[in-house]
Amino acid sequence: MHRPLSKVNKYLFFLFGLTVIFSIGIVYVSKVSKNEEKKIREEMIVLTQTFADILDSQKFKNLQLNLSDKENQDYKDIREKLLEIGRLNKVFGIRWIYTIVPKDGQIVFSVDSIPNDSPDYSDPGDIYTDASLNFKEAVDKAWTSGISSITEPYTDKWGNCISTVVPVVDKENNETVSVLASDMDYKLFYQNKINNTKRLPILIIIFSEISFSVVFFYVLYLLRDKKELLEKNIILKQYVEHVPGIFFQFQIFPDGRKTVPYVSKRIWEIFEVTKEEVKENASKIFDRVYGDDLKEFNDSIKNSMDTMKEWDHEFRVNLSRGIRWLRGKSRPEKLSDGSFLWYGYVTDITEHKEMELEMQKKASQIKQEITEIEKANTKLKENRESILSLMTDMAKTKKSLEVDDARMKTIISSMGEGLIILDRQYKITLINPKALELLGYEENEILGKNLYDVVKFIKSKKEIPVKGWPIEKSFTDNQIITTSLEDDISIKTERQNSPLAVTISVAPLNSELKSDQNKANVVMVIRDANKDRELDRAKSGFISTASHQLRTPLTTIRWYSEMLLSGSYGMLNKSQIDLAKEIHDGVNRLYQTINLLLGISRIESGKTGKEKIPIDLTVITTEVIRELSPSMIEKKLVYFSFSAQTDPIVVLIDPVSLRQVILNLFANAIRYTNNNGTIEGRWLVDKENKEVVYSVRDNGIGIPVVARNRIFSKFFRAENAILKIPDGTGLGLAFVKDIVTSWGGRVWFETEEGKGTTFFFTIPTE
Amino acid sequence: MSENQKRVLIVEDDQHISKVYEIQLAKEGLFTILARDGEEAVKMVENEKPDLIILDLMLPKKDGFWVLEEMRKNSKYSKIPILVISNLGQKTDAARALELGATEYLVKIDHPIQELVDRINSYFKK
Repeated sequence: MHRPLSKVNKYLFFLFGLTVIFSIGIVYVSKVSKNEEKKIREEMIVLTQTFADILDSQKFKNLQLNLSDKENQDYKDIREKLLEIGRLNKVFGIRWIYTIVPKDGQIVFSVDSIPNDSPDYSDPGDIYTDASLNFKEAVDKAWTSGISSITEPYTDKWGNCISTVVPVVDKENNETVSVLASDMDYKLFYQNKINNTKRLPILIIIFSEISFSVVFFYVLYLLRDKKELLEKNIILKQYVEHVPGIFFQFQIFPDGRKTVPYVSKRIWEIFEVTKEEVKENASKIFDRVYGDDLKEFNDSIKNSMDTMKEWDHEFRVNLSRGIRWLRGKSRPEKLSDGSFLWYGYVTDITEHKEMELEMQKKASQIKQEITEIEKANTKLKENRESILSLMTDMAKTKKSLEVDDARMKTIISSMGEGLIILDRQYKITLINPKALELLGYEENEILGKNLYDVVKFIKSKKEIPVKGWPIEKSFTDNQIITTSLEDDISIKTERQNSPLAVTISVAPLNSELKSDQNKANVVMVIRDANKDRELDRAKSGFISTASHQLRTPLTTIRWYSEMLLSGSYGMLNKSQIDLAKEIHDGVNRLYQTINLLLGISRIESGKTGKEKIPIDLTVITTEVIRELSPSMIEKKLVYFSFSAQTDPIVVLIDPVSLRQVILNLFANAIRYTNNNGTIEGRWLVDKENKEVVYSVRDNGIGIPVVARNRIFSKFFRAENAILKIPDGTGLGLAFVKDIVTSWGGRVWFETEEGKGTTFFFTIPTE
Repeated sequence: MSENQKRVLIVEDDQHISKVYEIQLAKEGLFTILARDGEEAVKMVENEKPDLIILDLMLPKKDGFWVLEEMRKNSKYSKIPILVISNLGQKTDAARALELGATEYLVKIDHPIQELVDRINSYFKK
């Protein structure tokens, strides 16, 4: 890839080139001119030496170097010769030619070729006063050493000159007789002689510089042109590669052969074929065309070929990723060999096509809808009248409903309990006067507000979060929720001085709309628990009083009979002792009856059974059996116990209640089993039902069929039981049932008259 | 009455019951004083300085709970054992009495008289 020269680089290079050429030129010129000057000087010396040779050296010997010489024939001959040379030498640019001799450190003119009348003429013996040092040296050199030289340019009264100084030598004895000098105008010398030599090299320099510039800029131009072309080519290539779709050439030969001479890269995306596969044979492309579209596809190409019009066709192709819609466009061209060549492109238009189809579908749907709306409109008009009559009916119904509503409102208003209806958002939609009284609000202050903005529910002095409210449970479980006094729930509003103890019942309304929770409503009934509490306290007080009032006289009888039997107050005879014992036994029976009665009433008022501690069933059963063992021994009964597992079964329960149940069941079993009978206790864990099942089995008298459904009733005793033991209370099983039910267990029995009975009860483990 | 004779204050409104106590405790050599209601009982504690008190709960005027409260107000009585012997059999009553300072809570009907006498005696044999 070309790295384009930066502009600065380019011009620096250009200037550098110029400078190099210029420098080479200058060196060359100076060298040439130096050589040339040297050559000219040598030529001048040779020429002047030739002149000196022409002169007759013998004639100089007779010269006196004063004005007398003028008359001397030798002087005249020399002068004649010099004039001749001078004339000749005008061609070489020689201005003056003359001879001189150094004498006493000065230059003395010998023969001057200048005409006598010229102001420039010097007589023989004249002293050249303003001769330059350089000139003097040249003359000395020629005179003493016979060496010829050319002086540096100098200026004197005759102007600017340069002189060639050569000795005039007598060849016979090799003696220097005079010195010949020829003067040249130095300007002329340099301009004509030397500068001429410089002109050509300078021209060459200039020509080289111009040529370099032209070549440089032409190369630059060529480079730039090539770069632009390359860049254009790359851009075009990128276009072709990135345009969605392909550019192609497609050719059909006269023999029907189809080829694709050129196709852009993305052909795989469009036809799932490679360039190489279709370069010589395009049939693979035709294979991809969707079956139903193939005929039309071929026709469209044929049509373009026949009419030479643009091929513009939409068609489907069957590709691995499904059927795609394509659109091709290309222009045909007939070639000299009779083939047709298309240039064009193909692009994927599936999305457009789908959108188009969707739009068409929508349009037809809308059309249909419009038709339906129009129909409905007509129907509506028809229905309007019937609706009007329906509305009249509805108005009547509404009136009767209003009567019902008013009745209902009266009932609700006169209720002794507070009643509130709430929607799912806890908004109060209805509230009766009693509820308003309990909360301490007027109806207009509270209706439509959220209950939790008005009321706080408090359980055992702690506020219950809304999620824990019984109302929430009723909403979510769609159940009726009732709280009891033991739940210890109070409500608190800003209007009350202190929390009000209540019991509440919450029942879901609209239960048929279970799915639509947001429309659910609940009705909440609030009872002032203080009244219930008072009643409860009264009941409790009654129990205390009753137990006290009944027990006190009983205690008296018991203690006095004990005192009698103790013998401390005088010995009784045997019949007296028997009688006193009867009194004592009677008291004991009455004592047990009272205890049972009080126990039942305590359980029914929820006074017992709350203290739960872990009890090992084996341990408690053993204790009870030990307590009952005297009567078992008396009746020679056999006792078995079974525990389904070796680990002790421990239940969490009020021990007094559990003991009462087990004691009563075993006491019954003992009582109603004949001598030598068998009694069996069993307990096992029923994991599935999460309970412990306890059973007491005997092989006693059994329960007659008629008595079975009343066996747990208070004061009821089966006839066979009365026959066997006349003085039972009929309270034992009632007590058992009350206790077991109070802890959430079940109690039942299996029996066969004359064969025995098994009583079962359960203790929930969770 | 000898110097060493222990004094038992019987607070009991039922005369049949109180008579049993009197007879039985006298037989054991104890000196008995009788109060018929709560107010009388508190006065007698002050005047008679008993060594032990047998306290019934259901009494005329002020009841046994009141007596316990009054007794608790005065620290000099704190060493006198108070045996609550009542026919109130509910746990709440027992708990309340014990909380108010009763030494022991016994239900009359649940115990033969000799058992109670033995209990009382046990306080003097310590």
